[in-house]
Amino acid sequence: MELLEQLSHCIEFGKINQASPYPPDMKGQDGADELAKMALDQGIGANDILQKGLVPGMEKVGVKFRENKVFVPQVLMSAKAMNAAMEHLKPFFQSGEVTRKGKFVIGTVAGDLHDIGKNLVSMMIEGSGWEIIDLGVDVSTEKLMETIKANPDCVVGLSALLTTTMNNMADTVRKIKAELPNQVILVGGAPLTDDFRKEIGADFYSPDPQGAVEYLNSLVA
Amino acid sequence: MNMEWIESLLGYPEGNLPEPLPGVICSILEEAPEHTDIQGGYLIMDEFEIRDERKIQVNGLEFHPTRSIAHQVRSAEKLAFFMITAGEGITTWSQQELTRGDPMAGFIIDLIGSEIVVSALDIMQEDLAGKMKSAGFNITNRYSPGDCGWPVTDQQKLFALFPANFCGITLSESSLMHPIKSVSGIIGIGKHVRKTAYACDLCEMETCLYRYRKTTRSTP
Repeated sequence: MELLEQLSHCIEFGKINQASPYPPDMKGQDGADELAKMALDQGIGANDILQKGLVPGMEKVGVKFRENKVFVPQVLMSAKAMNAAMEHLKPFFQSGEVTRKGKFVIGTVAGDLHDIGKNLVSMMIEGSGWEIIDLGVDVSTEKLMETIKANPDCVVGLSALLTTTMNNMADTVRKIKAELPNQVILVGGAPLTDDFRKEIGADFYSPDPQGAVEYLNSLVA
Repeated sequence: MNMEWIESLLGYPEGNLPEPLPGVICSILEEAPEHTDIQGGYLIMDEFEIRDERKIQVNGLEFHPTRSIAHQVRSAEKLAFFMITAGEGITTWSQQELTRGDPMAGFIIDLIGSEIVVSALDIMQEDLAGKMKSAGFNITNRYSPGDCGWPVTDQQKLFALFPANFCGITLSESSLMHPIKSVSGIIGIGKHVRKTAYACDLCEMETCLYRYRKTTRSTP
């Protein structure tokens, strides 16, 4: 199998490095860590490693997660494999040789501490080539506005898992749009629907992380 | 709490937990007690009033649960307000694993932490049910601010009923409890109240993730 294809396979199946026993059928084989370094040593460009090795692997994971063929633990292992490979690409991001598609500012709204879904979305969007600015949980509108202004042209993602913190989400979207009407805002979380998204004036809602990835990529296509 | 329950929470079909998850889960379940410090308690209020079909007045405080929650407790003669926590250790352990670079373990520890506090609350609720039964009373389901459309800000009023730092639980300005694995809420007590299999029939949130969620334990 060609090297970048192997790398993509490692991302898809969560093979972090040679020492990792997961997945069992890849035990003892090189993982994303080793293969990313190998690819750089062989003169493969960092951008190709990202776009042809890492991104396709995470995309397959996103689709499988959407289809309930894999679950959160497996997605986490794929994300960890991706992070291991990305460590080797960091100098190329810093030098500007590899450019990201854009910046994605994400947080769970004020009064809400749920973060698993937000973290999964962050991992998959990062795996698709975006820079993530994760503000964590219980994020005030003020903190969001400050971050948006410091990162012009960013896309914003808001998460809420409590039916009652959806009101905080509505309030946050309203305040952001009042000051920055062109700011693109994605919303997500278990109790949300696309009707709610329309009602509060956000730009996009997806019931799964892969939908958010596809929408973001459509913005820069 | 057992492997089959954790498997179902993770979303896997029965018996389809892939390696190395079974070993990871077993190891975490064995170690979890070392990181847990369960504390909890309840106050029983004999005097309260329901106004406008959805406001509950207690001790000079006015709570605003949904109509469906107020409906469930309207026949109650007493209200039990409760608080319980699994302690800070389980969350610290989860975050350590995440920082150490093991997101799978961190996630599973976090999940188990949630189940620990819910299981502890089941036991506390059963204790209350037993004590009330001997006095001729039944109890309702339990309801928490943040669930079923009950504003999470009502936590501030609930906390005002308890001594400061009760069982080591505090509340932020944005109404988040600390330690994170903590639950608070109310339970109705009376001769003419009952627990329902699913409170979902009375709830307005049609798209709720937890609507009609099957459990083998008490309805949270």
